Amino acid sequence: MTKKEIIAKIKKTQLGGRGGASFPVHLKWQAVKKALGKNKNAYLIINAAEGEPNLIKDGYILSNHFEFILHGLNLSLNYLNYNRVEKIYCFIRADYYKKNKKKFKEILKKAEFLELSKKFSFFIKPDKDDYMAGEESVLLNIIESKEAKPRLKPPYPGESGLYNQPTLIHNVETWYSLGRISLNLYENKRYYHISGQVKNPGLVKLSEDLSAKKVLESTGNLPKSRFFAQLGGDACGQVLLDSQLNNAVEGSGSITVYPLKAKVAEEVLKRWLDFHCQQSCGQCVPCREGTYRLNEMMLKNHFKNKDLSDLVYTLKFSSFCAFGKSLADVLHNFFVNIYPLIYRQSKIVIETKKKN
Amino acid sequence: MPYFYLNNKKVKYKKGETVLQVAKKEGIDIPNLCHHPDLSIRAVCRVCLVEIKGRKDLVTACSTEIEPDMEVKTNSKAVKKARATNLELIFATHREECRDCVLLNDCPLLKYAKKYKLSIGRFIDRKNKRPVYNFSNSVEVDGTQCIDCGSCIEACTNLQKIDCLQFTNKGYKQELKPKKQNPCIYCGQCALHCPVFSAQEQTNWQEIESILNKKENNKSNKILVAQIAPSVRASLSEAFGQKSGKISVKQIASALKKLGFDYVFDVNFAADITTLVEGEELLERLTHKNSILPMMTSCCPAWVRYVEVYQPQLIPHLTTSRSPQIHGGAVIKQYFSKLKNIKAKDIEIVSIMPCTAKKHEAKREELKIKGLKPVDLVLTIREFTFLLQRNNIDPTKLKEVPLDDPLAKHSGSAAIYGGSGGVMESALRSVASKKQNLNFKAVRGQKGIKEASFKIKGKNLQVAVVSGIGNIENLLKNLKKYDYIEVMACPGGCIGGGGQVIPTTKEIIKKRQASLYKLEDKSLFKRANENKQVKEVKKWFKENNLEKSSLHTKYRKAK
Repeated sequence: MTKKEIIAKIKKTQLGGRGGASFPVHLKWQAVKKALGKNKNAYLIINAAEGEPNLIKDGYILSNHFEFILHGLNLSLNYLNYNRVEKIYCFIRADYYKKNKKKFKEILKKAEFLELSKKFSFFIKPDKDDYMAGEESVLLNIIESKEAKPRLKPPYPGESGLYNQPTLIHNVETWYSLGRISLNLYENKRYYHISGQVKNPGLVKLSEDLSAKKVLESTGNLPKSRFFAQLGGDACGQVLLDSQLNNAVEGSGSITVYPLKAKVAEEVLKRWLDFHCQQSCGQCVPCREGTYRLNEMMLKNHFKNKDLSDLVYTLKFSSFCAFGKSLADVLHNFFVNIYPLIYRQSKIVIETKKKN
Repeated sequence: MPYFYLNNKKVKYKKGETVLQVAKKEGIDIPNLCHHPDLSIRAVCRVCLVEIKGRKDLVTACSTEIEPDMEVKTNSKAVKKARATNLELIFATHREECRDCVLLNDCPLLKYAKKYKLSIGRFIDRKNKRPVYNFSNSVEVDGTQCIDCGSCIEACTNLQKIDCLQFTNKGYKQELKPKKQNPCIYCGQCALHCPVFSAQEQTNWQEIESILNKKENNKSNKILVAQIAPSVRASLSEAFGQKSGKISVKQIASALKKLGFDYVFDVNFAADITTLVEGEELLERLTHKNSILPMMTSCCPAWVRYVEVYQPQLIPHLTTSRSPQIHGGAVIKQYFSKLKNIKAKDIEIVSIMPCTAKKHEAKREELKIKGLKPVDLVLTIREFTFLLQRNNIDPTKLKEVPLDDPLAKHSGSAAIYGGSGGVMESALRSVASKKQNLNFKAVRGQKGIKEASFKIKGKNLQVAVVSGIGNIENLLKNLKKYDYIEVMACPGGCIGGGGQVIPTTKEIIKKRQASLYKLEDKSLFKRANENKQVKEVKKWFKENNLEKSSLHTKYRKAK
């Protein structure tokens, strides 16, 4: 395959990153290629940090489909030229590594991965760095033994990433999908992780354009009583009512189902706030202080309308990285979609539309 | 030249310029806290927010490079709202102790609160129980006031390369702490770069105020004496809203007398003594075989501390000459006291310094003479400014009064002591022959390492000048090639000192340097050797057998 054909092939599948932002993969590849120019070398990274609570999808793929991940890497080695790639890192959770160590080793010995394995190494995620390692620039800083805090963008990692070299980072499932693309096995499917108050929780692989409702229906998981769900991540995804599930699932492809009850809603809200408050890296003001103040309100069980509205707004529009913004989205969803139904009145008004 | 739109106005810019830079040039004040032009851009305080048409989020002006046709709004509703909230969140991380804060009149937090009509108490302060870390008696980092911007870490780690500050923990538990393995050298660059004075000098103005009050009520017999460091006259005017160098040393003397000081002396006089002592030693080392070269200056106490902590093997290289501040103290407490028939122990000497490490220097045991400290208290320029402001004294409006004789005259060499290269140039002039060109321009300026070679007394002298301790490492690798080295721990020398007026930037340091050289032009003679008063005093020390105990010193490896 020529390089043009490789890009055309990926582009045709419309594959978006499976880590969260769904950024078109072929654009990322082209950006790295362009940044290489004449005298730079690239780094390839598998993000296997899977840090959001309750997610298992990447761990499952690593255990069962490591080969496809490597085929994906091979495709990018072809595209970027083998000798222009400095090193390949698999940035991986310690438990995932421990569990699959032997298997990984065996697979890496296979003839088709011989060249690849010369550049391949695992980087075990330090425990203390938890969730933030999912942010790609935080991951880069950890590998470089710097503080686990996000970098300013631009430059984006594709342009100037690990050790200031062009760096191609994808989530586990993205590399897996690329492997399937390279072997002509890709069927525009993705993994869904269904959990919460459902009959058949677990992982399932289905077409990527299904609505959340269809996914629940086809797996026999659609509750009979009223519920709300969190899509695309257990701490950071969208929060929608049962009647709002007609769009495709984005992000990491998880669906968590909760009964529409005040007590449940309160617990979930508490968990989100605690998670963000504990996991914020502390670098920027809206996230470090905002998550602290929101959590403080939760602990005092008193949400002042103006404070809540201002904090969510400020998190949303002025956070340094996507982490702060994600809490803003969750809270906005929750107070707009779920809160009025539970308390039968709309007490909280949250502005999120930027006004000029 | 490309252009963009700033609040609907078509504005030209250069490629690579940020919104903050161009807005400043256009006279648009974008508030900011974590930004400092000499430090790397971190964009973490999220206060310099602006709105750009077509972008989903607000962006920080400090980190956003302008693109052609970009439409930037600096005061849109969205900007106002998020900026206000971020500032109010920051207020709640900074315990307000404004009344006694040296930065009171220049505090950006107070300024922004007023300008944007914000509520300082909207959120409850959450760091009131955090500890304060003290570094000797020079600098402190106050955890109850830190806004987590990281400017001090940048200054300490990347500018000075000392790396003694770090963040521990994360999120709201994040805390600025000293690194035990890398001791502080007291240079005060953390304080100079802290936007909210959480990193600051350990203040002494309170003690001076108390003495002044006692004196006013006739409850103290202390003779209160001030001495003014060379660089103070370059920058003090900036603290009173004027250009650099606009307050003369005679106006400063006038302000000190107004405060209630009995005598005011010029450290420039003492600098001439230092030059002579150091010049003599240089000649001696150059002429005697087996003497240790290169000789290194020792008038910067943060540099001395650096040697004692990190490079103790260099101790024999340091000149044994004491620093101008300490020479000044010795002259006042010994020579001047005899002249006026005052008991040395009744004299309280206060130095006005651009420096935090001078506080530490003043209390060094081995510098005591007959059990007395040569200098009793050290004020930074910021503390001095604050003391004047508290007493409603504006030195720009004062008539000049002469400094006290017989210690008032000084050479042009002393005038330039406050800038990087000044001490070197002064010493070279003192050992050079009269006919030689006495302008050693190659050692001037802000470059990190300046190298030059000069012919002195028939010998080829290889010299180097280090401006900023962060540049020292390269020099240490090639030590053997030099005969004489000047090191100032702060970039630019004392005019960029840790006790200087805030803000201090490379640009501002340049202006201060220019004012120092302007002062030198006005001086009546160029070389320290021509200072008759100084010669008189030096002779007196020699005759009384006080040279060794009062003009020279020793150093020791730090524990």
